[in-house]
Amino acid sequence: MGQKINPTGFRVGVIRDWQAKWYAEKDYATYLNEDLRIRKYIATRLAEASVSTVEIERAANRVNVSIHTAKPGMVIGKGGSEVEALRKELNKLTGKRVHINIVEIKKPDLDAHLVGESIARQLEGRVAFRRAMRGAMQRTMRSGAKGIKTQVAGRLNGADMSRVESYSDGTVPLHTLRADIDYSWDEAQTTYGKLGVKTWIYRGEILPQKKGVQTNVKEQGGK
Amino acid sequence: MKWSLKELAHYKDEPLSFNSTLDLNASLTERFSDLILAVDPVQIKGDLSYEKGDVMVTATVTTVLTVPSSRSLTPVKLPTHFSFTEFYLADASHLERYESDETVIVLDEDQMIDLDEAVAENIVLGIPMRVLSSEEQTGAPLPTGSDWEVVSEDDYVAHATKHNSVDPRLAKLKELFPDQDDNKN
Repeated sequence: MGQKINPTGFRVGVIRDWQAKWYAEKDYATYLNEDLRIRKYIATRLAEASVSTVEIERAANRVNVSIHTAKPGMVIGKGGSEVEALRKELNKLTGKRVHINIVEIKKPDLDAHLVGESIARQLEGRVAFRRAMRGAMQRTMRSGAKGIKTQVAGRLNGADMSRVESYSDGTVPLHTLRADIDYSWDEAQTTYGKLGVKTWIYRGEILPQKKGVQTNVKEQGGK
Repeated sequence: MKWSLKELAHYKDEPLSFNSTLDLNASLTERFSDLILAVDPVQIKGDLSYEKGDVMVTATVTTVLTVPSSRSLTPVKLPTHFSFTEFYLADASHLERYESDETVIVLDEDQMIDLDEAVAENIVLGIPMRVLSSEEQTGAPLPTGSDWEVVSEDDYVAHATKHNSVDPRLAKLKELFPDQDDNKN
């Protein structure tokens, strides 16, 4: 078996941005610890809210938290009650003024974490694993992805022996750095134990920009 | 609607057609309470054909679901109409007969095909992750509050790009290396 690098980490600084945007010298450890606590708190509190990523920015005594979600309604709650409570808790946790941006994801079927999580929730709801995987893959391809690969591992259908099954559609060029590949690993807690769900989604190529002008493949002389 | 593989073995020459209405409201709202609020009676039409020990099911499903809006959680009526084709195998060794893009289900020891279950699961799989009410689709303003706001992905990216521009105090540095690629255009 070849050793595999995490596709997200491989692309950070090339075509993907960091999820924490701040600079510190002596307070680095404090801020990093605070970031981890913020992320852990949001992941626990908004576990059912289809949260994909959480971006954290800092400026003076202010923290900007951007929550990317497919279901802003679950984050906001009735009349904003949930998000108000979340903001107060984060204010208390950090001791700083927290501003929350709830970013509504336009195409959730192109987000690996959301697709993987939906497969995991369906497996928990006793949906046949092949049906769940095929359904998710069809939706992703229909949303405009260039390729998808999903892998489920564990005691599939409650079998005595655990195994791994994977399906793919289109292409997923993991070695191409400019290929915008989203990757996620999620877990389904079933009555037979945990099942691991891995998802790779290839959303197309990202090419470098010059002076804020978007260039396409032909202009760059690419394939 | 359930059939055993033995019963279906009689339909080798011509397929078994079905046209029925199912009530899946209770089972689906209980199993997927966060996804589905109500399910109208489900019309299903299709046929089952038996070949070499395997069964092919082709069905068309029509119903109206009530699901929560992903933005405001208000109930939204979602008319649903889709077709699906699935293969049910008596033995896992038959898997190699099928292409990887086909939906193949290996039957349990009881060798029963449960169509209600198949229809229910396909309905759940067909629910889009993003559901908006008609007002939300026509551009109703996004909710905001004190120190929080909902923004669209496009607006967020546009705002981030704007703020990623170089600090004007450092703009002079560009003139240091005039022969670099970035300055050629």
